[in-house]
Amino acid sequence: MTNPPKRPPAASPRGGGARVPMPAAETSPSPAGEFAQAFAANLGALVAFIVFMLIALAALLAPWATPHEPVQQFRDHLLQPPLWQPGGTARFPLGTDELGRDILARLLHGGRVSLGIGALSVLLALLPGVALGLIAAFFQRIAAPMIMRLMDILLALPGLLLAIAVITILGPGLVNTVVAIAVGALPGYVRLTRAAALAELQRDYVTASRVAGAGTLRLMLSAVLPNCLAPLIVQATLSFSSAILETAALGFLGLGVPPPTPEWGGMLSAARDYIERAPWVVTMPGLTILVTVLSINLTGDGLRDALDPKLRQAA
Amino acid sequence: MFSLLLKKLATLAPTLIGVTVAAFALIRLIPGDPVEIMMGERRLEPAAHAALMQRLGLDQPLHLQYLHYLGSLLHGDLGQSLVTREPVAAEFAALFPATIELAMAALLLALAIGLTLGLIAALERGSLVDQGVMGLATVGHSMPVFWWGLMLIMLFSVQLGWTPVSGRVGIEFDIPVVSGFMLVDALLSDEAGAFVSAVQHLVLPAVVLGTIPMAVIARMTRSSMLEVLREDYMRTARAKGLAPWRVVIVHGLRNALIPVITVLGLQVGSLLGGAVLTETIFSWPGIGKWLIDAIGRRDYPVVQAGILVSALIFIGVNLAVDLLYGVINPRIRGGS
Amino acid sequence: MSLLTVRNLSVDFAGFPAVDALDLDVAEGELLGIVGESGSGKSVAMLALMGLIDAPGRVSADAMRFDGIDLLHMASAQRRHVIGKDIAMVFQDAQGSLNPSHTVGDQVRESLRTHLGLRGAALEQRVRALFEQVEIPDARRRLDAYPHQLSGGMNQRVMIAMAIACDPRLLIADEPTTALDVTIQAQVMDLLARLQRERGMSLVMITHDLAVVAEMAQRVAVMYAGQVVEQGEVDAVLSDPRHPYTAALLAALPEHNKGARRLAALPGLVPGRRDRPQGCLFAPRCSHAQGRCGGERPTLAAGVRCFFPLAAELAHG
Repeated sequence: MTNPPKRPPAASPRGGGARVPMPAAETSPSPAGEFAQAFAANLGALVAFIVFMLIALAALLAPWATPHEPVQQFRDHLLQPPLWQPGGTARFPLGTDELGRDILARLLHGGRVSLGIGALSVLLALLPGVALGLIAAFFQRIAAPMIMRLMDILLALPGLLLAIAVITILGPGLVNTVVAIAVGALPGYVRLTRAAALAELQRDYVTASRVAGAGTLRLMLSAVLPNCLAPLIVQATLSFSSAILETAALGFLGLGVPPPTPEWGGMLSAARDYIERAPWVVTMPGLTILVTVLSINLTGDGLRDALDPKLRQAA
Repeated sequence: MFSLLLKKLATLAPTLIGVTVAAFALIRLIPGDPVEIMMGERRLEPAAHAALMQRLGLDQPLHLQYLHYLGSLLHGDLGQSLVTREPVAAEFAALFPATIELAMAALLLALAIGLTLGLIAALERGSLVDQGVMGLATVGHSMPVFWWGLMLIMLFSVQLGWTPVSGRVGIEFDIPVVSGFMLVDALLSDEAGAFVSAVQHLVLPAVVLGTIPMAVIARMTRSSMLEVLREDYMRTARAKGLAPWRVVIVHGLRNALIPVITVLGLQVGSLLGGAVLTETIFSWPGIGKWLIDAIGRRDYPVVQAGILVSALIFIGVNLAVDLLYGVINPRIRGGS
Repeated sequence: MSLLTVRNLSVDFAGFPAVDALDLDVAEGELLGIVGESGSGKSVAMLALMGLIDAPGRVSADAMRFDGIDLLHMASAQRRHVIGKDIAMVFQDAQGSLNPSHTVGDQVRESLRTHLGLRGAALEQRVRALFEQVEIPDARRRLDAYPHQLSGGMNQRVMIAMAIACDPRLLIADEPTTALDVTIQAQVMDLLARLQRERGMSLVMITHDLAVVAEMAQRVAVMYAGQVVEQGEVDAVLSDPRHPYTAALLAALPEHNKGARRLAALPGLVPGRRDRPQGCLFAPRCSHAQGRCGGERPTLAAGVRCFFPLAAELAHG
């Protein structure tokens, strides 16, 4: 655009002078190792994960962890306060409820119910959800519109209301609760898988595989799916925790797991009348729900942060 | 903007139809005798049973039944409650404002507190304040709403006696219904202290219902604001010599709010679900409690109507949020 | 008398000196070019002047005076009355530097309202005049446009309008044309030069383009690794560079490599955080480096920071 400056001096810029040291090449850890490092670095997530493991363990070992049956009623010990309050005993460390049942035992067994329903509902939503999502991504013209419309209808009702609708049809019960919650979680998995799969399908290696003659199913499972795993894992963790909340909500409303099976939400529902007289009947189950859900959510957050660079690569 | 609305409605049409089909199917999927389910009449003699079948149109082919149902919907006929024998639509209209009032109060609270906390957390990133706010947000997000409500009742109603436990206004007041919104009606009535009582009754349920949206909004605002703070135009705003509050609010928050809007639609969904729980705990006479009571009493027309209307409201709100987003985000609004 | 005086400015980011002992003088109405590679600290120095350096960056200096005002010890509340009004800055990426949610007109109006208190008709008149001065065609309609609706060149003109809105005494342009098409670059440069002449304002032009400096500037400062290594009158520096780095920059220009098979490029990298030499910062890459250069840091003397500046005879090829 303008006249360049006058000719430069003849000084040669090459050679001579001290060398600038180059940084040594670093070896990078494997993806799994990287992930473990990143996750462990997040102290909150690590603690949360340990807490959750303890809860899960306690729930699993429930029949052996307490001497009492959850449905066993001790008529002489109605509404007994917990250990640290006046009138409490070590026999019922967390006190008893209005029917004289040991709260600790009910909490532990209730944990089996909640965690079990949570895990099952995640599976029940994840497997079909991923399948439908993959189909929607691979068969864009034929299957996708129908599948996504169906998901839109499911999404028209917010989570709890959808579960209530399903329970209305099927009636209350443990299995029905799993189904009700799974139905609500399904669209999330379908959308997530479809979006991740669509992004993967744009990539060159997929085109190359197709040209090489790889079958659709094989392509789906071996190439595309592994790269969608990261966001799916995070989603599964978070829907696990919301499944536990929903189970409790349904139980609270009397629409979930029916008595006498101990369930955290159901315990709260019965405890409503005893807020003044026996507050521990209300605080204990609720705190348990809170701590469980919190530990899962924090673990999920930690997972998401640790997987993040991979999420970006995968998406 | 109007054409955008029409376009969006067109894409929503299949979903809307699908929802009505689902509501239609809901009652018919319930195991048991359809006449019993829909009319609440049991152990009828065959002749009476057949007569009712005909009257309800249950002997007709399904698609005709559906069209009949759709027709009634468009006329505003949502059926008749099995328990009260009153038109469902009328009951719904009477109870709806209570839920709206509660939901709006909750949403306003959630926005006011959530936005503020999220903003502060972003500005004080890494500090104790930030960690505290985020910690609270995580806890709030993991909280079982119904338990939170019970705990707050325990503290504020039972222990401190500051707030009442149920209802929308003290039973000693007789407030004529004008708008359906108790705050408004209490103001309009000539009863002294009615408004204060109404506020007292509204506070706790609104806080409980608004807690989860508040937590989500706080987190969203924080992350959105953090991204905005990194942008070059924030530096330009400061280089112009503008006052700090102006830089943060007029330049920063204005852009940070855009992604937060997208979350609002989902939060309303959370409010709808949460309303069911909150109204149950606080005996708040809205459609949430009505729905749950109906399920318990097997009042299926009410359940069907409640589910349908909730879905329509949710779709409507999401549509509104979509349009709002288009208005607020100039990159979508104007086009090049 | 110098409009802007900077003595011993250093900007430190958690131990890393992005700017190191910078001395600068800008006279009234003068066009100073600041040249250097990415990472030389030229932008950071100007941001420090404007008070736009945030933690963990720390600014320290012996003096930072603008028109007699002490910028260094100024409270930020006072500084806001100077920044954007008497000292203004234009940034590199115009579209990213403009708020996407406000119209370009509103963004210029904001400066006028804040610093000059203009309202109503006076405000409108002024905004329109500014847009015309920066040669934005169809000014009235463009006022209501959003940045994403305008081209890069147009946005840069808006930035310039915003910067000169309050008649600044000093305008700092940080690589204003680097992000623009070549054809637009010339136009924007000419615009800046014209505005500078007409308003008699001082202009600090930060660029890595020596040709621009040769064309427009009166004085030039060459920066390397946070330090000024050479400064002086443009013609003198560019025809008889005395610092080996300046010489190397000039040697690397494509115009001076006509017929050569490879561009005369300078080997090595600008020192980063971990490999800042004890001695002269340029020594590792300097073909004239001698013993003393490895151990001591040269100071800026007679416009050159070098123990063995290139003599005039050596400079002529």
